[in-house]
Amino acid sequence: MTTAIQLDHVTAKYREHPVLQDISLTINSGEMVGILGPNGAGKSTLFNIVSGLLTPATGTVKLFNADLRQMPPRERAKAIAVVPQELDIPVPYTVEEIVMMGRTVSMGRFAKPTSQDRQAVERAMVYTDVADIRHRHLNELSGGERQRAIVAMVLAQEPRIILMDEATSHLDINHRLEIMQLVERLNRESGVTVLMISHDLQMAAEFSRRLIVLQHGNIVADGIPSMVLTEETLRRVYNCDVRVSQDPQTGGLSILAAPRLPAAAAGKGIQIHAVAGGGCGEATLRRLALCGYTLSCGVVSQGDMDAEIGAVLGAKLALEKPFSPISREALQVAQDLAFKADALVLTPIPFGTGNLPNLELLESALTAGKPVFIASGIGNRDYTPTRQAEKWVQTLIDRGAKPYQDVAELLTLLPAKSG
Amino acid sequence: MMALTPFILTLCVMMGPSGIGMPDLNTDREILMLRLTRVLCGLIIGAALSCAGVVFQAILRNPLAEPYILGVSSGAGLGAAIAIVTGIAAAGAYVLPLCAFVMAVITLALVYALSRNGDSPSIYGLILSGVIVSAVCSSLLMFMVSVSSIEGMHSILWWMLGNLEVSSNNVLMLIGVVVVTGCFGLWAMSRELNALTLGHHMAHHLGIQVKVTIITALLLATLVASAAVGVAGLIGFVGLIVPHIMRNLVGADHRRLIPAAAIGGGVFLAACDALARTILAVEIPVGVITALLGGPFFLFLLKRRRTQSWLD
Amino acid sequence: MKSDCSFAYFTCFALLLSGCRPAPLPPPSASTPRIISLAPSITEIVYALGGTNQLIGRSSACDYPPAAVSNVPVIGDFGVPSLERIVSLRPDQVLYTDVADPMMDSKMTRVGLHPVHIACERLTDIPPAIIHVGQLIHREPQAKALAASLISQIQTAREQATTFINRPRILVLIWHDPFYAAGSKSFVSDLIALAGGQNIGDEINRDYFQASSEWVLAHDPDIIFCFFMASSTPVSQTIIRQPGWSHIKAVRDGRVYDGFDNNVALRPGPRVMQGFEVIKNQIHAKQ
Repeated sequence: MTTAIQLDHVTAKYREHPVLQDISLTINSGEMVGILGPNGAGKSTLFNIVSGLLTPATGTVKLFNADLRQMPPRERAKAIAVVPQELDIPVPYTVEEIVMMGRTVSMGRFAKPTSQDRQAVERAMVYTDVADIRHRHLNELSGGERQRAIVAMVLAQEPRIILMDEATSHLDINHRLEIMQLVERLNRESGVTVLMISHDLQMAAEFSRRLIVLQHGNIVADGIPSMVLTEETLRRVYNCDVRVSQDPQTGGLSILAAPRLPAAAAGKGIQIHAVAGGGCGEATLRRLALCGYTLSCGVVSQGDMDAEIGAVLGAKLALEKPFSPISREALQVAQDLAFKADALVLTPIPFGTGNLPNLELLESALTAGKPVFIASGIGNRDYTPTRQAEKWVQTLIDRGAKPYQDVAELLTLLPAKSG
Repeated sequence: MMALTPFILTLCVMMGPSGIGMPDLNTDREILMLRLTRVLCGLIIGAALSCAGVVFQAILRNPLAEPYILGVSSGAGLGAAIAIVTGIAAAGAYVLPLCAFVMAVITLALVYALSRNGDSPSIYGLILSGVIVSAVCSSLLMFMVSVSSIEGMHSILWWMLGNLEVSSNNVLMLIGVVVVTGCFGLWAMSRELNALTLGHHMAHHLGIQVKVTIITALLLATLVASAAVGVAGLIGFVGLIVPHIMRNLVGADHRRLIPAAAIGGGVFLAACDALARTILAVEIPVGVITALLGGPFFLFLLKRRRTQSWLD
Repeated sequence: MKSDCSFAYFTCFALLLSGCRPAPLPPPSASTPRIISLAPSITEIVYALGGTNQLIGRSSACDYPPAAVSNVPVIGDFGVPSLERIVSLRPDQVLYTDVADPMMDSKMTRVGLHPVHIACERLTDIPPAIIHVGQLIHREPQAKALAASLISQIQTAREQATTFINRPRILVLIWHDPFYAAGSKSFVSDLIALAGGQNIGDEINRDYFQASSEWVLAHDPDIIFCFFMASSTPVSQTIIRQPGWSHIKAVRDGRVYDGFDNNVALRPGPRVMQGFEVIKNQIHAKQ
């Protein structure tokens, strides 16, 4: 296993401002590595160091065990090439001319392109599927075609390492996929080492076999995607709440940012217990959380969507095993939660015999003199054989529970912080 | 196009203020010599200005760049003015061209020194310094004009209008050698120039030594342009328009573009000069004809092949 | 196609090589050398010496005598002659006073011409210039006579000038936008001095210089001469309306003169005394 890139205690600065702090890194030949990190973490600087654009203040950089600083530009170009994010080329080159530029250092100064050069160009164009648009001018092409032409240029250079500096950021999803699949194929078939910077965490997770996460110029994580992409790490590095889950269809990691909740709101300090389930309480739960109410929820089944949402929103949950009717234990937990609440809300969930006992919570609350709010339209949502839920809800309303049409109305009815 | 060149050049030799027609070798030998010299001068100067224009456009990545953009014209004009006003211009055929040349090169050195900012010279730095130094040289030139005698003023202005009549064949040959060597050197840098048009970073990734390339190319282009200006004064438009015309015709690859610009520029200038000395009773400054012809021709090309121009 | 190109290049190159050293023109003919004049003053001298038939080319500025010069071909503007035109006329000599290109002399020599510089800028240059031209066109006796006559006229005028009591201070303008005044090195300054006047521009050691209104006001001339034409209104009218100029003595006294024939008054040639008389009369008009 040859070492493609070796960084030893590299520090990099831009005008006395340190950007990379004592980085040591080894990347082996044939690896496909994603470089992640928030803006300002030092990802582009790392690329500049590895490609020779920036000289490190301290430390050494070696490409295939040769010191980069001593390497003549010709050799460096044969070792490493960069696919930029976008290339603003004012001059009207054709695709073929651009791809031929990849052979700049391989060609002699006065010699015409050799058959070797032509073959490399041809191979590159075929590989990136731009061969049939070779005579078109770059400024006529779509974003995906342009980027493919540029990848072809890099391929014609026949480097052993390719750096992709957010090379797909400006492309549509389909073009993005195109380019990534191309590069992955290249890595697989020819053993070219690939490093890619991407803000698309999904794509990086999908296509990289190793991820390196940078923060404030340091490496904070380095390993396989599933080990690196934990909520813990991501939350720390990107400074926002994220949810990482595995997509059931593709098996890929799915990373979502959870919006941070606004601080001061009408509901601060007031606890609401919501009876939810099946995803129908989602909207209500979110709005209540946004308004600053402290939430509890139950009884819901484990894995139920409302349970997940509740967990994300920081609600205390009373959980029951999946597909089981509500047990006495679970109900007791819920009762304790409801006891601490200032008000209770019954979201527009469907009822069956299994979750009917939840209505007991509302009974107890009314008895305790707490305000209870019930979503209207229970008649459509009662799946019990004898329409028990509907009748029970009616008695609750007779006893003083207030019905509400939608979340907006609910918010006006709920107790709010005065002043 | 290559076949057209000797035909056009022959036409040029046939045109002159004393009449249209090929001068007889026996009776009108001097006139033939005069015309041949002017055509040769046109070829050399035209080639110099066009090649320099191509290179400046590539380095500065700017379609409006031309050989005078970094102060060559102001510096050369100042040098010529100094030579004329102090009276040393009449001392020898080399003096005025040498003064203009030296001042032009000093101007470039000054522009480069002012624009230095870290590793590679930045494009905007160069252009900005060029504007500043140009302005200073122009003011000094205007000052010299204002304190000179009427004759001196006349001489300076006449020189600045540009003229293809050389005072000595030796000077022309020397300039010819400088221009041919310089243009050849620039042509040898074709692949570096190609890479540079993609931007400094991309050129670096393709394996080019960016800083060395820029300095060498700037130096060669300035030498060539300054030599041309020293001998022929400030002939405008050739260095701006011919690169675009040739790029439109043969493409943007410098390996083809530089020789094409050299030939195209030379023929263009020779033809303009032939017209300038023939169509009216008095000789028109050649710079007037280059602008009047070059502009509309370029517009015509632009309309014909829209996709291939830089200016879209 | 390729062989056509090569042949064409070869031909051009051969032509160039074959004619590298131009054959020298035949030496000046003994009795009546054919000459080309590049200056109006020289042209006038040639005619004054009776060399009408010898002049075979002139500058566009050579306009006197009108009937005679209209038949002579023009070879360019004053100061910018066309080499090719000159060569095609095959002159024996080319006479010039001042050309814009400092290298014009050597350029002409290079193509086998015989250029001769005639110094003819100041008043005292004129008689020697006449002699010089006379020698060149082989009309020495006429030249001697004309020169002697001119010298005596100048001498008379000089003696007369010493008798004048007051020497008015005079501003000579040759242009108004911006104001260009005559300095100590100008020809017209010589004429002013000869006429008994004092050119206020003499303190500036140049031929012509840009004068500001403030400078003119500070020097407060008695007389202003305007040697230029304006479009429709007489020049003197526009001058006196310049802001601040109403305070100048010349303007207050109404002694602003225009309407001069520059081709006589500003030309250092045989008709110099004509121009001089006009200037002298204006200076001493109201005495």
